Amino acid sequence: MHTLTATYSKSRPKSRQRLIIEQEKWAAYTGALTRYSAAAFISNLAYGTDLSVNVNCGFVDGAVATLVHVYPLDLGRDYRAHLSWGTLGEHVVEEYIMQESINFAGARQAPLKYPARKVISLRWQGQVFDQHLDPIPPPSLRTSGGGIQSAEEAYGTVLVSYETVRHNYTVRIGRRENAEENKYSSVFYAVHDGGVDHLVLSEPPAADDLEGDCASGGGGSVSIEGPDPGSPNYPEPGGDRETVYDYCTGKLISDDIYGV
Amino acid sequence: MDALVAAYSGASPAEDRESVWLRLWQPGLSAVGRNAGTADLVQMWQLVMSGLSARKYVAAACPAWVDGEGVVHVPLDFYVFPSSMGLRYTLEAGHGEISEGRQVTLRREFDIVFDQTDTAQLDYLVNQASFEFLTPAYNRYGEQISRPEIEIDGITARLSQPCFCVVRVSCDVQCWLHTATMHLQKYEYGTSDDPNWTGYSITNLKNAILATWQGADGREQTASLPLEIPGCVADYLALCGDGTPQVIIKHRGNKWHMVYYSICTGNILGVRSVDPRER
Repeated sequence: MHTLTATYSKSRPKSRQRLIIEQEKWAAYTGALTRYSAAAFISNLAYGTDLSVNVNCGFVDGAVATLVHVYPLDLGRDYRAHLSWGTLGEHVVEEYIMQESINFAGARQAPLKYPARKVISLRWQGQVFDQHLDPIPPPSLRTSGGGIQSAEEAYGTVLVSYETVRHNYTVRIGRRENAEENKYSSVFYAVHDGGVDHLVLSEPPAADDLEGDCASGGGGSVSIEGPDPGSPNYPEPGGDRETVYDYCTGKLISDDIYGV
Repeated sequence: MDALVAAYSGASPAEDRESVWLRLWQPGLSAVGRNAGTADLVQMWQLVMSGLSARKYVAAACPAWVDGEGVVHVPLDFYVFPSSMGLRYTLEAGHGEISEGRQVTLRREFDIVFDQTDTAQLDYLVNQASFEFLTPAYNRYGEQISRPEIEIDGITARLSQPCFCVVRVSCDVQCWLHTATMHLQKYEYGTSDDPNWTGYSITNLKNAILATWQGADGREQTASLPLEIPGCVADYLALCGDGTPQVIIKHRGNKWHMVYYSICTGNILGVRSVDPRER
């Protein structure tokens, strides 16, 4: 352990971006019960049905499981990928067909979001307008550099289908033992001769609080008072019944009667 | 990886020209209270099977509860981070009341990404911190360099030279904890056990905290914090409007029995029996 002293100096220019790094979006309802799952769970409780209660917590075997896509802006340049926390799988090269809508707002040129290796199709969507917002016949389009060029300055939307190359990395982020918070935080970073590109990875909702058991939610125990022992209708106790359900799947784990 | 500790220097951050300042912060609601889970469903089911109403069930971690008079109480915690614990300040809430402050020490742990920079702004005054480099340090040519020295100066973390690196920070934060509690009449006409009670839908609830203190130049300074109303509270308050929302419970046997309940009052709105062969 050291006590540190540092001096202040101004920031320098950042790295030159060589890569576009994106994380696969968490699917809708990740980390929570869907209404369907809730209804199925109630049905299982009420009617003894065996409906599937699938809940996606964003975890695999106790670790956050996600996918990172890296789009090299220049396929000829190498880089080394790392994680600040967790394990990174071998990358898989994918030739991916991207569909992108590009807005032209009175300009002739508009960039593509990802590096295109081959443009497959290119067409205007809907009406196209000129600088005075009068409808015009769709101007011709062609690819130019890393973008799309229109023959005229126009307002409109172009639907582009193009092939891009991306590197897919599987990411597994285990829990930090003894961490107070941000137990699954991690940064994906790629080192190249132009510096470092990085992406702070997002955790699935409820990761820190529920740690992969997002279906269970809060809950706790319910204390239900029995009938008044002085009542003439007070039943003779037959035993204690303990019924245990799996909170995630709603499946019956055990149903035992004790003390009979 | 080395664990490093830096003592708080007591100096004001260069970016904060005012030496006397105060920040307000509301912690996010735990995911446990944000969404209902199967545990909540089991509890509600057990209540119903025991002949008790589940209509007032609120998830344990959701900051709301209903008293016997039909008033919903919503306590929301927030923290005051002053430039010194001796700073005097006053607080006002747009709705409800605010508790006396309780001095607490928060343990925080988070990552800082230095992206070819040497400074990072923190959210609060850090008392004492330990650091752990999660990555090597790289310069802007992608070359690995020796790790820089690091220091926390008030609310600013500084490196001895700009670089890319990720640093894990664990720190103690001294602050005051207050609770703003709102009280909302949600049900009326007798007690909550009265079947004829009426529920109100309360929507678009807003509240804010205003803090006032005296700055270094003697002039009054203010800061405000719009309180986030947790979704579980907003949803709960929005229920029970005009009685039209309803749930249907179907039982499928020789005949389908459909029981319509008001989700406001729990009253049975109607029962329909349908012979599936006639459908």
